[in-house]
Amino acid sequence: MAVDNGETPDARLWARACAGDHSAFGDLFARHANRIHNYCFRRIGSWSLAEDATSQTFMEAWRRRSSIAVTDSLLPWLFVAANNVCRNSERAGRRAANLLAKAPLPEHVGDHADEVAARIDSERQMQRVLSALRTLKRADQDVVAMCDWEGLSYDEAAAALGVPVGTVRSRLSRARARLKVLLTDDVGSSADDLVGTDELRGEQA
Amino acid sequence: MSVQYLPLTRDLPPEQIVAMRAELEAFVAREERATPWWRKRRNVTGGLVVALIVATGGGTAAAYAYLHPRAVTDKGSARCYTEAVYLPGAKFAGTTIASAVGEGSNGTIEDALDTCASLWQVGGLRAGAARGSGPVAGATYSVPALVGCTLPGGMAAVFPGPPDTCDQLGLAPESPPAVRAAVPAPATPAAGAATEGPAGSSP
Repeated sequence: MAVDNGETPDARLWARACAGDHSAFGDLFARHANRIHNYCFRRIGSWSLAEDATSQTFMEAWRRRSSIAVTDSLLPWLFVAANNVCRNSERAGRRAANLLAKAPLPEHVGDHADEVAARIDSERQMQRVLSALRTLKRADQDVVAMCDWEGLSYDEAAAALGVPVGTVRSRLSRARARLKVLLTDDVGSSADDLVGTDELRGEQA
Repeated sequence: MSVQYLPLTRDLPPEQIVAMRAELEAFVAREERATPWWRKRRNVTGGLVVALIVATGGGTAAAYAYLHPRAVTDKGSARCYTEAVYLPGAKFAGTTIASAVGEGSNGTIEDALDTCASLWQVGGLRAGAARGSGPVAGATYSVPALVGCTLPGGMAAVFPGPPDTCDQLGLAPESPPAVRAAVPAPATPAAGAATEGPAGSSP
């Protein structure tokens, strides 16, 4: 079994995985798990759901392997798979939340209080962002998440989403303008500090 | 990477990544075992069959029927997709069609491909649209190449795309094969772009 030293390109690992080398697929998972986990959190707003969605994203990518042509990084394709998985997870989460809302609240557990509080804070913060994001068209949400949040180039996002680069550019421009209004109202900070711009995006990687 | 309005990122604990990786590799191994031999070798087999059929003047539909066709068993309704994307579940981009029960109808969809093509033609389906819409009176739209697949539950699903679309989506092609070539909108002085807009009326 070959061990991933972090230098083997994604395309080569992907080719080996598709040829039946399961450990190559495992290497790809180990390499990208944290990026996908955080991406899923940003799309769902729940750390626990994001964990499940991370595994499901890789399973989804595997099922669709015949239609994925990796020439450089697998990440753009994983983000697209995650978009679909997270939408399904979100719907399931809403159904579960509706059921839980009818159940009595559990006793507060004091263990790992700081850790729990940090998780809850970040989930609340993300839910505020998501409530603004979800007012956008679904396609616009995806380009914001992939380009502004994850730093994909227009070309990478366009290739993964199967749309022209100009479409990515126009979707992103429209989405940023809308988010600027919504997030400024909500957070009360300077809009340009909050919402991505081309210049900012280049510095975030 | 941080956009200011986003919470800080968090890493999964290393031991959790190891456990998730093991589960994932086991999943891949199971999937490999569950994949029939003709699917595993589909690129080679499919290529050979397509080459053979093309060389002998046949159609690609016949080539893909060789792979793993399945008859539609649930004819109570069918799905017309607006994009070649399939995810298990009830939600999809497109519309569900069903036949009204009445005189001259037994309430089943016998030719989903033809019905979906008709919907494309009257503007009830548009590429990539989340759902179907009402037909546009007096307008004739272009119809993309369509292909019929059989969903796991036995229902027909018609996707825009080439004949190998079912295979690409991991679905069984319909048996007998259901494929239809693209039909452009009739050219009229009023129709500027046949592939985008209707012919014979203003958008």
